Amino acid sequence: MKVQLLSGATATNGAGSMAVGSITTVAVANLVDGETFTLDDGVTSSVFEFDKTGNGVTGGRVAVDVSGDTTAGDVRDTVIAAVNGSGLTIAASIAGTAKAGLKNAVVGTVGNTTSGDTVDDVGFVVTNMAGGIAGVVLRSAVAGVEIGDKAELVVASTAGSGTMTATIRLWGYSAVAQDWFPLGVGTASGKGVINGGSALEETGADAIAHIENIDGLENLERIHAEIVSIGGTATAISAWLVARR
Amino acid sequence: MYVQLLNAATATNGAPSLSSHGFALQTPAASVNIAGDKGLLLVHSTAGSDTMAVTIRLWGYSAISAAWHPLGPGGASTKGIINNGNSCPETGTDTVAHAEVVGGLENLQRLYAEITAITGTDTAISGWLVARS
Repeated sequence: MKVQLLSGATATNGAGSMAVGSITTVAVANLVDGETFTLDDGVTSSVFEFDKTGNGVTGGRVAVDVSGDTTAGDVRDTVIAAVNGSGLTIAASIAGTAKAGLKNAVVGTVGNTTSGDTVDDVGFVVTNMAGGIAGVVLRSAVAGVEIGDKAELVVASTAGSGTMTATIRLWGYSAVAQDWFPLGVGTASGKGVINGGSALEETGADAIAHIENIDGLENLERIHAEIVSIGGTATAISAWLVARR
Repeated sequence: MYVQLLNAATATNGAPSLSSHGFALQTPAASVNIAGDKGLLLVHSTAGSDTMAVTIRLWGYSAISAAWHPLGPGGASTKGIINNGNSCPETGTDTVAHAEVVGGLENLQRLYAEITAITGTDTAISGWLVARS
């Protein structure tokens, strides 16, 4: 039984992540009643309308009632409440004095969407939702995949020359936490990085080969092999998770 | 099967002292039945900014000793601290995420996650133990 995590990968490919974004807010004085921002969770798109006077918003829009707010921090908190009450699968949280962090609870690339706003003030910024990774499912009756608690991670170069290296971080997705986690202990830079936190180096002329036991998979639903860095010339890396059926 | 040990916690919460502290690993009435010996400890931030980090000590309650025990060896300051006795740092911009296999659970009755330190601004941390039932 195996699942392929990398297939001749030649470049970095991003961390295990849910789709994330942010909203940087401004003081109420910098908003105009009726200005909007738009968020899309991949299934539903919602328009959020600022209500400065408390007289309601256009039908079909989500009200962001800032009539009692003053500072950018106040607006941030009202935005967070509006997003979290909107029914979207996007959760908002405090991410700075005047910044709300956004995270889609649905795993995969579906949450990578375009956001927008009609706010004139340049200080108000809504970023697109980005970074969502699908990874590879560990168990799927349809695909005939059934990876248990332990597996062997097999990594090999399929092309390349020069001084070849690859640094790979392994991420696991938990449906319980609805998030991706680097697998294992360590510092920020080494956490989840296979080979004891070190880059894979050539094990022969123009060849990288690595094998490593991975534990604790039974409580995860997906796995993602992030290429953190890759060295050499035209280096290509493949990787598989191999387990007993 | 899982128990949630922390729910958007924003401050240190002290060591456990009472047998009622923490979370039972087996509570049939609540459909909690972590019967196996090991589980996966998941910790992540749900909010926060600046340089976020959290230090967590995991405690287990034994009915035999009628006491709470920090899980694992080490000096007084690091005993039971997950991530090999180190804080869990940011793993991305304004994000803390940590996963660690925890063993020896089948001989414990309760589990408690103590936040011994938390840094950053408005940092909020959630944690779960996920295991086979």
